Amino acid sequence: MGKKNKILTSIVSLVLIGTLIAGCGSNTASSTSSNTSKNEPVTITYSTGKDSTPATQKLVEAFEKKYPNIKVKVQELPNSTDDQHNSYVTALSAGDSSIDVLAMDIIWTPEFAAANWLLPLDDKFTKEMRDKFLPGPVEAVTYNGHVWAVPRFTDAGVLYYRKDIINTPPKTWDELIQMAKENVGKGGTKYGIVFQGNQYEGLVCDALELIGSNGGNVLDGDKVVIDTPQAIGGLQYLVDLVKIAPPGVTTYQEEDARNVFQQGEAIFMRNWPYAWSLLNSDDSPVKGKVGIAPIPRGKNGKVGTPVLGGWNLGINKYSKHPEEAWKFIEFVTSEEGQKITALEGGNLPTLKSLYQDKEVLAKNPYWADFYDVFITAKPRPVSPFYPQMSDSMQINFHKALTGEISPEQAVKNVAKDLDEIIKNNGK
Amino acid sequence: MIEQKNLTSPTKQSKFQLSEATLGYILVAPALLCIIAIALYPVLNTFKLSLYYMKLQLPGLTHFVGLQNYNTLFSDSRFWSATLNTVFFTVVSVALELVLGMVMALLMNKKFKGTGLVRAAVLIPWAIPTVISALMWKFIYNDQFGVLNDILMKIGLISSYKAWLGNPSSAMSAAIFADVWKTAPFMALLLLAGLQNISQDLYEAAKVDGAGSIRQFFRITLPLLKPTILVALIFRTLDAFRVFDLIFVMTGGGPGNSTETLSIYAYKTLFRNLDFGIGSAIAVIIFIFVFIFAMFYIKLLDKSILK
Repeated sequence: MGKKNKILTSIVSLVLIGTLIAGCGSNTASSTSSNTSKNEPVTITYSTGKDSTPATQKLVEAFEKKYPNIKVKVQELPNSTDDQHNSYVTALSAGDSSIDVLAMDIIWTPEFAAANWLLPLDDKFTKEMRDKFLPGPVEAVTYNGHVWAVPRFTDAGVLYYRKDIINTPPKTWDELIQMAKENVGKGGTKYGIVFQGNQYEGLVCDALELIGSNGGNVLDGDKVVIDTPQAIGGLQYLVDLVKIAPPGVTTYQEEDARNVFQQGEAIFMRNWPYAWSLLNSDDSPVKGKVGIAPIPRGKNGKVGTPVLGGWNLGINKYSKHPEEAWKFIEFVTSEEGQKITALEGGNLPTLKSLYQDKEVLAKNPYWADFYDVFITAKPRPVSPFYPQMSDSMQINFHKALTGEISPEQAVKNVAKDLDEIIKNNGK
Repeated sequence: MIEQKNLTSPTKQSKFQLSEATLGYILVAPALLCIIAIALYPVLNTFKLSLYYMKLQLPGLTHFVGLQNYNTLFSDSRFWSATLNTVFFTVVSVALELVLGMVMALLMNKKFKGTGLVRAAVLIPWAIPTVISALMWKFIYNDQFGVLNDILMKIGLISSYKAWLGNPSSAMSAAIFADVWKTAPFMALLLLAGLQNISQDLYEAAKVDGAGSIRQFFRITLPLLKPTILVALIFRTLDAFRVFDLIFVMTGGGPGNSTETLSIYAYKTLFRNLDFGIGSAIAVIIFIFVFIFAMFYIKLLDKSILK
């Protein structure tokens, strides 16, 4: 018994000592690497979510070829954006300088800027440069009168439809519901539409698209303007869509919706442009049967308003190499860099000029027609307290979706919460 | 063992040797320091933060506000519904686990062919990491290809596929069911250990006196198993009250916040809204609840042992 215990204790202490030594080892390694003289190459760290396409790798190779004195270390973050957000919050709130360039979801930029974690880029990302970019993404990186990041790629909601069943895509949501009811069952379909109905950020995107398309809005400056018949009507459309969707749509995220649509079970799908190439891959049952159209409008709206998504690049305020970090951002968001992202990663460029580029359009022919749509895409409320606003919308919209409360009540609750958030924090 | 005897014998103690108490303190000091660094400091710091207005988006405005964060929470309906959800989850899942665990333990305590196999099989759910089993159950409940829908449809209990996690009336029950499936074996394991400590002589004597098996269970098994049951309840109640991973993976708090527990609410407030003041206050409240439970059980345990 005593002998066994002794062996156990010695193993445990060995392990402990081992981890201590390992810890020290990695510490000294990182401190020497940041301690570089002028002639030696500088290494910067680019932190981004896992990229399943070769785009990031190719971007880094092209950059290092152009700037042989700067090496880029890619730090891969987890797949889920929530986990990426957590990693950033943990590192940046502690003043960590190990990240130089960070990739941010479009909704995080004001939050990180307000928290004082980003370097303002007004003098680097100049007005002249900004004019070459799409206006929506630039609006989304501007907060409190300063520019905090450069849009790397953009995203906007689109409507997919089965072109073997529907000849011309619907112009209004009423038309869509009508078409879905008339045609369900054709071509092996079981449901009218699939979309993102889980209680998460994706639901807010879908709901805001319907509210916007029906002439409603959430904020006007820092005034809450969501409690209107237009917004209630928009949310009512979402509730009506549940009736022509699979029962589990209230748990669906992007990939759940895509799976059902790709299996040929739904006539329509609201999703992001990324789904296009997957739906048309060789093993897809709906290959060649899918059309893509702009988001329809509601009966009180003039035009369908897709919600703006996308990712930005910013510089960590505590970065030891801000100049080199800027060189990298400048390259990635240049025509050359964005072309790599568009061709290899399939992501939509933020530079206007690339929507006329032959090579880019050869690979993604429908982008040319969608330029007008992407240019109208609306950012979600730009506020450092957006996550809190989104939380209230997620809960109340989802309650409306499952029939627990009416769309009127949901909109009223959101208006009350948003008023309080703005009153407590300023915008 | 021999060395220890030497240390404890007072005759060997010379002037230059440390007293036994001092030596004891020195020996436990490293462990104590570790506990202070990784357990006590964060708890105290969380308590401190809960008394501050602190939002990471407003770095210049952090200031002391006393108990105001707690006041805000107590008038927040979302906090109360999260508390209610947590209590409901804890009470129902722990009660079901106790009953099921007891049945499993009694069965495993019987001698029959293949006891070893049964004991091993029962433990499998407990051996699977919670995140994996939560994902597994998410697929089982899926509205399109979930096996639960398929089975219920074939038996004829439902007429169309249901979204078990997408409906406020069934989501909590579905989560509780998944938790019971995973942790009832743990309960069974602890209870089985307790059962094996009960002497067979007692049962034989009871048999001679003519007591039936039900009477034996309530007169012998249950009273003698009480300390074990209490220990098992401490473990499970504290775990269930802080439930996070299972809910986070299965529903994320939805639908319509009907499965949001205190831990999920604390996580969203801290990491999504970056409100460290209120978020810490929720964490402190969870700590206080758990502390009260633990104290309550330990009191009961003391009583039952002294008896």
